[in-house]
Amino acid sequence: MAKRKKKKFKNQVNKTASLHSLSLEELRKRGGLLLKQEKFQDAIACYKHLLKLDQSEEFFQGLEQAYQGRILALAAKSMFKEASALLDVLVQRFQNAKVNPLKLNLLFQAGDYAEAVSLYNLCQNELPTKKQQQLEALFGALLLADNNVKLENFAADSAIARIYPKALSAIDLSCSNQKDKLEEVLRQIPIRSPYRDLRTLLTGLHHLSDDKTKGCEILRKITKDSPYYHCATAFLTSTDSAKSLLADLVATPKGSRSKLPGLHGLSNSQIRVLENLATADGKPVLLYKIVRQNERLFPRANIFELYRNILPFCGEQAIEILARSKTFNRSTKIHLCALAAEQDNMPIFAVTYWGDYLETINTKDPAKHHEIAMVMRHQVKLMKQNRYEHSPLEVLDTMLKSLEYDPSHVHTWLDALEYAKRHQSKQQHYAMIQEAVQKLPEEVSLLLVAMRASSNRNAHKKAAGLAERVLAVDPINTAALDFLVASRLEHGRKLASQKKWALAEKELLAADTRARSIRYKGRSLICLGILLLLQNNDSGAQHIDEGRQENPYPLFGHILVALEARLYGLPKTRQKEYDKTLKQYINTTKTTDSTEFRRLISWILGFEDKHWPMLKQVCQLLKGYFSNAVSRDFSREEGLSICRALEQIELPIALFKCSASLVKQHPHVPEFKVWKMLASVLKTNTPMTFTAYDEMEDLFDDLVEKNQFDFIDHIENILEKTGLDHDFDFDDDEDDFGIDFGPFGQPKSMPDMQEDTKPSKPKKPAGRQLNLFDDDL
Amino acid sequence: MKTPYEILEVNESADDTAVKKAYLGMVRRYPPERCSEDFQRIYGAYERIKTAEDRLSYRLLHCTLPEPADVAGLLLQKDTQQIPASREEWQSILSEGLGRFCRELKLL
Repeated sequence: MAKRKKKKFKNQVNKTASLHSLSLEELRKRGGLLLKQEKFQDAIACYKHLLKLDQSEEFFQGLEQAYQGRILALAAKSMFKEASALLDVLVQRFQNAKVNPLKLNLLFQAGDYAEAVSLYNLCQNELPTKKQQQLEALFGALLLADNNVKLENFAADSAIARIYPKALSAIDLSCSNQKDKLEEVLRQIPIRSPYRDLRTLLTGLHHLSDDKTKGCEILRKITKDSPYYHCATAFLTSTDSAKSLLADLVATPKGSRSKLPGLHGLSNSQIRVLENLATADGKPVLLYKIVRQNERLFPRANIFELYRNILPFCGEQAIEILARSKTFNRSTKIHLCALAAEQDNMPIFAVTYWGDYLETINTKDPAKHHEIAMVMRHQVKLMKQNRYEHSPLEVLDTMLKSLEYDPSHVHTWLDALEYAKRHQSKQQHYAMIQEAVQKLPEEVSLLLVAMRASSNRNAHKKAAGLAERVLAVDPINTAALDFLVASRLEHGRKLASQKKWALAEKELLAADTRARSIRYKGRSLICLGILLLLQNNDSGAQHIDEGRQENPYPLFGHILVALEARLYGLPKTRQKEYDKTLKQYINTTKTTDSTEFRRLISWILGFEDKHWPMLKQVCQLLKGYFSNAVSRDFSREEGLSICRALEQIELPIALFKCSASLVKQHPHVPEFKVWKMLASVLKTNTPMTFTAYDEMEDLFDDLVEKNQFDFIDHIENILEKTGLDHDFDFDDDEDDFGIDFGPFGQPKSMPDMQEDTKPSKPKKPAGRQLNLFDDDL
Repeated sequence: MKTPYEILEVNESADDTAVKKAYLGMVRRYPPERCSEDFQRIYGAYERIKTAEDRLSYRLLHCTLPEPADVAGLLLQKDTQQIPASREEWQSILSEGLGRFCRELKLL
């Protein structure tokens, strides 16, 4: 302590000594500068020295100003005794000094408001009008705050006393949220009254609940010199301000940060946390540490939610943190580990953790069944992302288990049925359909699946019954309506083949005209015409023309005629006649209607029935049409559909042209490159070269990253079906299937996995590298 | 970083009807034509917890890494003033602000 005093004294001596070396002019400048810099103590010394040299009025004023500044600075530090002593010095030194305003200021700073009111009543004329207004607003606020200021201290006719009841009533109305009455009372408070800012404050708050932006805008009108300023800023604090505050913290040098208005009123620890957050750069582990170390500074209710949202993004460190943590129970820890594994792009471990999580749930509690089903469905989603590890049957099994807990989940039923169709026997698939329809008898999408399955099994009557059930639930269901029409038409064909003309005609006439699809527009009329031609009645040609014209798309009309001619087994000469008409139409119509083209593509892709070979024959007549149509611009999805359709109807040249054009349009879509390569193979009908295979394999790698497994399957099946794939021998060392098990390593809580501690790399495919997804992998 | 429940001001145990009621109430308070940003937030929150399945999915599968500003917002939230419900509360808030104001007052 003595050392510090000694040092301080030494500094002062040094400073005084340095003043001696300055000229009068330099000292004058320095005095002004020190006042400006609010270094009042030094300013006092400087002006004292100046007055020794020259007793100028300017220097007296400077000294007085320096004393006043020093007094206020001391008061601001709550050193009221020292400030009063210095005030006495000032009074002694400057007989004419206006000390009342200074005293008033000191009284406010000391919190002696009652005394301040008395002094104000005596000396208000010594203050400028603006200061008087400011103080009156302050007294009004002190009165409202019931802060040692009494109404009796003010003249009854003064604005403070007169408007006080209205201001108090406005506060009460704001508390009871009586907005209409509040507005009315606020209108009665004059804009020039001492309660002006209270009016602004209450108006802002009143808007804050309805229109935050407007509310904030109004509150920001309350300036720093208003007694309501701090109150308004307390209401303004929000996340928006937090964002700008962090930005300000980054932009402001450390020394000047304390002056940032947003930090006003915050404790040092809060400021430190904000500084850390400002530099955290969104790193999850850092965020976690900041919250963990300063838990007490955050609202208790939000702590758990914060951890729950941060930890899943902490990667491997989340597992370590959770292992040590006592904040969470076992179930939550596993839950967070599962989320962390997902965020770390490790679906294989996420599936395992979710499995562990399920073990922590009481499966016998019906209230938990939905949760169990949801977790299982989520596992299915993750399994699908990692087909190396989870066989389709495992996926299907998980889906079925989830349906045990939540049999009402239609999407899972549909998904499971699709899986069963692809990976199980027809009997198993059909049994599953039966079960689904039994569990959800009014679910249209399941009834439609059952309807199509029955039709494929030639159980037409049952299929028709299912279609009727669909229509009972959804009378305008296009698929069911179309199906009923199709079954009538089919039955008509069957009767015609048996030469039961009258019955066939009856069936065709009964074909439901409610059919919505383009492929049925005018079709029964076309069929009727063909039926007449088969009976050597030439008037059938007129019916055919009428039916063709009934279809809004001329191309569809021609295609339907050519198709039905084949399906009814019209004589070849007649068939050729209609084929010729179709070709003529294509040749004469140069421009293609894009809607018609899109509908044709979707018809081809959706064509499921046994008449597919006939449609393919008809489509072969459309080579020129397709070659012209495909060179336009299409979206990625449209392009993929077109390629698939062209491959199905076996038009490799059109497919090549189309895919080449799509590769140019979408150079970053690997699917089109694959289609182009496949088309060139199909076009020449020669097996792929090793280089082409290699290139396609690279493209498949890209597609694997995008989870486009179905596409790869599809292409593989085509190559296999056409026999254009090729066997190549690869070295045993070559292994492209290594899985990066990442930072998680082996999940510790998985006993089954522990037995097989090494990451189970998929077996190398025997012989063919391209068959990436063999079930036996 | 507010949860959809906080945004819609509903309890986590609220059912579909309560969530919808809260959503409609919020839309009345923040109509899209006047407060499009707030409305987007409210609509997003409603979509998250609209049905029982949505709420379960939110609880089980949802996580969003908070921005540093969100964390800072929570820190400041402790100091954020709620609109007072009584005269006494008002007076206490006002007194606190006035204390600060008087300490910084400069009449000269």
